[in-house]
Amino acid sequence: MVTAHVTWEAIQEEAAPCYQCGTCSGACPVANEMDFTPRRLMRMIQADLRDEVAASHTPWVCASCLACTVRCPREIPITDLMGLIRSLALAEGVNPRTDGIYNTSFVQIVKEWGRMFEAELVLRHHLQINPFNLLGQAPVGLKMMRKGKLAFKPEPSPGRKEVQEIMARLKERKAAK
Amino acid sequence: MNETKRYAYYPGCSLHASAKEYDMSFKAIAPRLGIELIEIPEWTCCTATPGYTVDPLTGHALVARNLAIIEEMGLSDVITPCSGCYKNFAKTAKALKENPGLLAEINELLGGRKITQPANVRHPIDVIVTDVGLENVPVDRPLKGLNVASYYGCVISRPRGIFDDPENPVSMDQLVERLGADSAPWTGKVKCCGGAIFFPRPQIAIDLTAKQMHRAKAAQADCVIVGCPFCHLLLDMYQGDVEKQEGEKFNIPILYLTQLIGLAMNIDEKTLGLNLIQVDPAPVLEKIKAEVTA
Repeated sequence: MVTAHVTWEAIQEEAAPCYQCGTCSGACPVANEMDFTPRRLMRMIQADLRDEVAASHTPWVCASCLACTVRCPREIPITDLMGLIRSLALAEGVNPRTDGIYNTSFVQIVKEWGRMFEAELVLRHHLQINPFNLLGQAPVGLKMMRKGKLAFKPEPSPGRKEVQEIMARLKERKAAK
Repeated sequence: MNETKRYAYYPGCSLHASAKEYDMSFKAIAPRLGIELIEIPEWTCCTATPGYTVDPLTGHALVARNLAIIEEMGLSDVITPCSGCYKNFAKTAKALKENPGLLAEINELLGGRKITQPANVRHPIDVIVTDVGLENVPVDRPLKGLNVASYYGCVISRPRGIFDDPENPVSMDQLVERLGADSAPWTGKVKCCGGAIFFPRPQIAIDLTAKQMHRAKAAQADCVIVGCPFCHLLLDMYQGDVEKQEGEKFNIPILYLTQLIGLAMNIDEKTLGLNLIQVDPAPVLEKIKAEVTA
């Protein structure tokens, strides 16, 4: 079971049973895009290479498709483990910039409206990274608009206050630690 | 007519926006399957992957809020048509059942609400195969001669198959055959489209989607059916971009599985939102109609 609190020790505990068979790397559809294959990253965790693991692009390239988790003969929840490494990297600010902006913008929007508002996500993301990217997004954006699939206004959830309260409690808890 | 069963319905953000035809078509077929969908009135986002990335407890807590409301509604099962929501709901519900410490912590975070027994998390295909039963799916217009590739995506039956096999699922193929169509054998069933990383790393997702389109073409599929808004967004909305990149035409309509069922029920195309998909489904519709008149 992956625990709720992210510590390096918890990550190491999850990776401990790995015996380096490489099934994960073979199953991974995006291993070729990673700086370290999943198998190699497991070994790095075991070897206590904390900083190298936290700064790796591998967990951010991971598409969370669970192919590795399904096939791991040691039943390591590798996909969840990648998520834990992302959390650790974000907490320490060593994540790739683009991925960090995407993930934090997404959660910010949910906090604001209680639901996703895609147009705001697109704007927030690209304005921070490179506003010219918006030009590249325009053709599909227009297609979606024509189909009525891109809203100009958010659809606030009546439950959004509660979401904000939950997130405030989470923040207090983190600060107390 | 089947006996009606009540389910909590969690559409998720996509079914109110980019995947509205999934919502429309599911609502159109549900009554005839004996499925009553009761939308959670004040539902909030499951936070997809970013919630758990920012902090696993954030992801769990924001999914749990919805689970608590379902319990208040007195319903035991929730249907989450979006695969992303389905994965998150299933993950959090499982964690809460297995870890009493986490459950206590989440209940504190929720403020006034309380979870005692997390709901059973269900995907539409699971409900149709397991609860309704394929033999009870009404088929007014058999989809004869239509070659359909079933795209399960990466999370419907993963990590451990709850209602279907994680490596070689068959439920959607059996549904296709029940509807009178041919189920195309192909290698793309559970391959990933890259939806989860599409936003920050679009090129990787486009490359994965291109592979899926080549697989569907090799299988000579008339259409691909999906049960996930991200698979649909990439294979349908971005099919034109993929064609440009690959220098090859695919022109394969991508339908939600609920739309295909609706066609077999002879439900009007607009009601099923078939006009909302980007790759023109006309060839599929012509093929079905030709069979009926032949």
